Amino acid sequence: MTTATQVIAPLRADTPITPRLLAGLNLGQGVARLDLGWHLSVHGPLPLAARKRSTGTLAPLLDRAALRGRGGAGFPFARKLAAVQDGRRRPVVVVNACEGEPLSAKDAALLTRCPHLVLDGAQAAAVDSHATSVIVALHANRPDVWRSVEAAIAERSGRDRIETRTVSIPEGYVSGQATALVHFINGGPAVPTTTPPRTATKGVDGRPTLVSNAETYAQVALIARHGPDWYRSVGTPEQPGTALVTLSGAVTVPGVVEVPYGVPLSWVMRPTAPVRGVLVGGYAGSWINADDAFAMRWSDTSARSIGATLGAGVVMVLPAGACGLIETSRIITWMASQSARQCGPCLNGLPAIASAVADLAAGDCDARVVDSLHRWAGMIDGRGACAHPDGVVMTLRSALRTFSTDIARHVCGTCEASS
Amino acid sequence: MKLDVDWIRCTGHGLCAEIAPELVSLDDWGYPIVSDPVDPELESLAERARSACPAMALRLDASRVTT
Repeated sequence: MTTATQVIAPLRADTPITPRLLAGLNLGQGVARLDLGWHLSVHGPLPLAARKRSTGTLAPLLDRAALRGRGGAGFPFARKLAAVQDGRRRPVVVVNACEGEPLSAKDAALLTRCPHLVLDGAQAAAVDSHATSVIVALHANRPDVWRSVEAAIAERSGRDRIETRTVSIPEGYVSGQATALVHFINGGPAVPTTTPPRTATKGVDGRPTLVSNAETYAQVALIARHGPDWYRSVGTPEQPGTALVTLSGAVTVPGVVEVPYGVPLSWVMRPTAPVRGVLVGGYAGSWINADDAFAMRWSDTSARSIGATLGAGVVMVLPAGACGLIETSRIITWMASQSARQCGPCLNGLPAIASAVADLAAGDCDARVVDSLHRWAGMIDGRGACAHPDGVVMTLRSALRTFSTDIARHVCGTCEASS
Repeated sequence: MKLDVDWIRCTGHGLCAEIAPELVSLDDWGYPIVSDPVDPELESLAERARSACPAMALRLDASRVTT
């Protein structure tokens, strides 16, 4: 069920809006990748204002669009952009395309199919902030993404004001965290560093550094072209625009789909079987039960009201008959293996949690194990250099909540689920 | 005032919890759980815990009351 979406999943053609990010891809038929010529004929060129030196004009547009980061944290992008423009030194713009989340394929989809949209957005942000360079950070184990981005950079040769280059980041979940990326680009190991200093203050080569997710830059490219009012014309008033969602598990069409914020989750996932639970947000996300899943809309507000988060736009549907605890055990065991092993609560807590959840999933435990899990679930938050352990206990807490009846069955050894 | 832990530096000596049990307890693995924020009357105790840390992993931050 939770095997990583290593291949680029098909795009769904039934978006209830005209595709924006995925425009021109003819979804399944015809053009598979927009090279520069196709890209320009679909989207047109970036406006001159976004290509010339126009320090400070982009952030107000992005602010009016209420664009938030798409890597999981959802930080307002205009504030992020403004933060690197306060310093005396010219900033560096980093496109985070590592996508270490095993259930997410949206950034790979963007970069293999419409890489110029991402590069346009990064260029606009770089020009606006008078940056020295743009760096696209990619995981080394994605040669398809790599080839597409390198080809796109070559196609743009001589057209961009600010140079774009790629950097190969070692595989892993936490190596794509902002401080880890910067640490690696600066010659260190790809592990998170203590903040402060934040990357916005002191990042690549000590410069203020804007690190944001690939989809965020693609949205910037569209807002720079069409303006905030156009951006706000779909979605909800408080969360306008569209988002990419990666679907997996018991869904009609697995893959990447572009949806306006506010659309019902039931429409997005279209389950193929009765639903046992839905993992929203990814491995550092939340399990929700079927009732909540069918009531939820794709928005931060709706997700928050049931204790979930949209994360990087992941939906994985667990069908009735599958065991949520076995699934959770797989997730947490993998997440524990991804610790950078720098901080005590993560280094010790995650393996302890993983081992206890594995015992619980196997029905090889008593109620004391469940008590320990509840205690550890409240002992880890905010106690690490990065949010990796926080993500794990969020998933754990949601599993304890969503699968409480299964937990009781596992403790007395009567779970009937097959896998 | 706030007592901050640099989690990468902290190696779980536990001295902070011995010196300032009013402010620091230890988790199941011996790493500090810090109460937040530090009451004004306990600031000198917080400073003693900070300066005693063998890993130099504690920092007193007057500017930040919440994270």
